[in-house]
Amino acid sequence: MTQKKDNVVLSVEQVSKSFYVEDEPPILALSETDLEVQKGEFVAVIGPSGCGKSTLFNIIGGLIPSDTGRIMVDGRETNGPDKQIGMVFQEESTFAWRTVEQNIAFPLELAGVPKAERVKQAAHFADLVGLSGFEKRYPAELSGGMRQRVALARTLALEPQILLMDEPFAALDEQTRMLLGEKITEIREELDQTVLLITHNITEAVQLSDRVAIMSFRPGVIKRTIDIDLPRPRGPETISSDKFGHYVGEIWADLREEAARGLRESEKALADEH
Amino acid sequence: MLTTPTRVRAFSLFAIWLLWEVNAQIGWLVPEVFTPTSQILAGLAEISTSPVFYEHMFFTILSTGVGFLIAVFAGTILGIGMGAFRIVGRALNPYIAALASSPKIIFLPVVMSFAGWGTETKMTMAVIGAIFPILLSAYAGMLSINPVHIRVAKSFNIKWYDLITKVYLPSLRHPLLVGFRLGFGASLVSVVLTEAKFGESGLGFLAMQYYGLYAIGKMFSVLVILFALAIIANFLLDRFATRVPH
Ligand SMILES: Nc1ncnc2c1ncn2[C@@H]1O[C@H](COP(=O)(O)OP(=O)(O)OP(=O)(O)O)[C@@H](O)[C@H]1O
Ligand SMILES: [Mg+2]
Repeated sequence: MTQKKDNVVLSVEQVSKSFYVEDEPPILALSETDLEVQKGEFVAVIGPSGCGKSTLFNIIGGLIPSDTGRIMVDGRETNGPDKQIGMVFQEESTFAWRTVEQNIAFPLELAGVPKAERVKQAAHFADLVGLSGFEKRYPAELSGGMRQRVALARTLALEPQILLMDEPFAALDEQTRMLLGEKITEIREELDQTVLLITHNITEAVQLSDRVAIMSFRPGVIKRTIDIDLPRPRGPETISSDKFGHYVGEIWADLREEAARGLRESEKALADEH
Repeated sequence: MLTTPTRVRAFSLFAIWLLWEVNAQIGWLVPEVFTPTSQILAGLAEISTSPVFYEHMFFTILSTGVGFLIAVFAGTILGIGMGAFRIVGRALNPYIAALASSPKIIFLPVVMSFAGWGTETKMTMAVIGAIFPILLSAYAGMLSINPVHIRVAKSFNIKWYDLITKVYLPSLRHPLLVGFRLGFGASLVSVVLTEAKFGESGLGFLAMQYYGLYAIGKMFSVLVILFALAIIANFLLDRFATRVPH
């Protein structure tokens, strides 16, 4: 996909974050991290466990403050959760006491949208994620994949320009994950959205993104980005192509070092404790 | 035969009644206490025609109801506050746990010295009885709220009052219902105890009066009425609970 390179919609500038835990050396989760995302681009951030992906997600979403640096959306600095950014969380996050319709309408309710309009919008977004007919069901009556789609629709309901997702498919099985990935690429084309997906799944990153940003472990920075030059839609043929496999291999080569270092350090930390 | 909960329930009630009645008829175990059901029914028939009885019942219901409702509001708000401000919650928790497990009747002299002998004292005792289970269950519920729900809400820039009404309260629905149930029982106990000890009105007072007159049948009929009130209150709470999803 060709992008105009001057149309940055989201930028992470020199963001650092340390966590201080009593009686332990501070953890530098992010160190002067930079990332730019173009309008309409699908970027995946991939990195080993504990490298600071969720921290980056929470800072971009405005849920936790950074120590240094700033987040820019459309050229203005954000201050807390921003209307233009919609967040989808890794954990199961639907409200058990609300029906699918009421879950999707939740942000509209907060925004004071009248009931009739909310119901209409909820039906529209339920349909968009493939859940029409389930509006009156409660989350407990749905499968895990369906519940994650409810969470997605709830985030989409405010029509954010940027969709920010932290391992949204991590709790799902492989097939559901692949299908939901396809769904998300369809939706973002329909809504003309920019997507930043956090993942630790290499295949998923290559299947979905225009660009993959690889994070290093301690300090967490984006050490390299790789353009994924594959035709869309990316069905089974694309996934089984040599080029796809080549990208997966290239990312793994980079990631392997980081992941191994992460593993060594966490083993060492464990050993120190004993 | 005993294949459904309703059947088991009906059978056990019947069995207990049968034991009671047989015992009363043959006068085997403390016959002064285990009066035949016919006498209790006669007592019920008699008191239900006396206007004084309804007055007493009214005072009991009023004190319990008002006290319970105050405790529902205050207990829920305090419990949410303690959960939302963790430091306050942790600081106060030991005191509240200590108060909650002490017999509430020890507060009676203090309350009476402020509020006298009347309905206000009974209401205050009802509040004291009900507030602890409600507060503690709200607080426990707050500690087990799914943190991702709060993060979702914050990502939508939720206002504090929407956070309370649209996230905290619905998340607390199950623990709160348990707290309300326990709280109602506690407030009824507090009111009836106060009435029995120091009151001049109410069903507790009436039961003690009949007891003093050795009118055991009538005394039991007052207890049956109290039992019925508790069942009705529970039923109303149940009706409320079934409207709460999952
Ligand atoms: N609130 C916190 N307090 C202390 N340390 C934290 C906190 N949040 C994160 N950390 C630490 O910061 C580092 C980065 O955490 P983060 O959750 O961002 O990792 P991640 O890349 O999302 O990992 P995963 O892939 O396992 O989800 C970890 O070492 C973690 O232990
Ligand atoms: Mg994470």
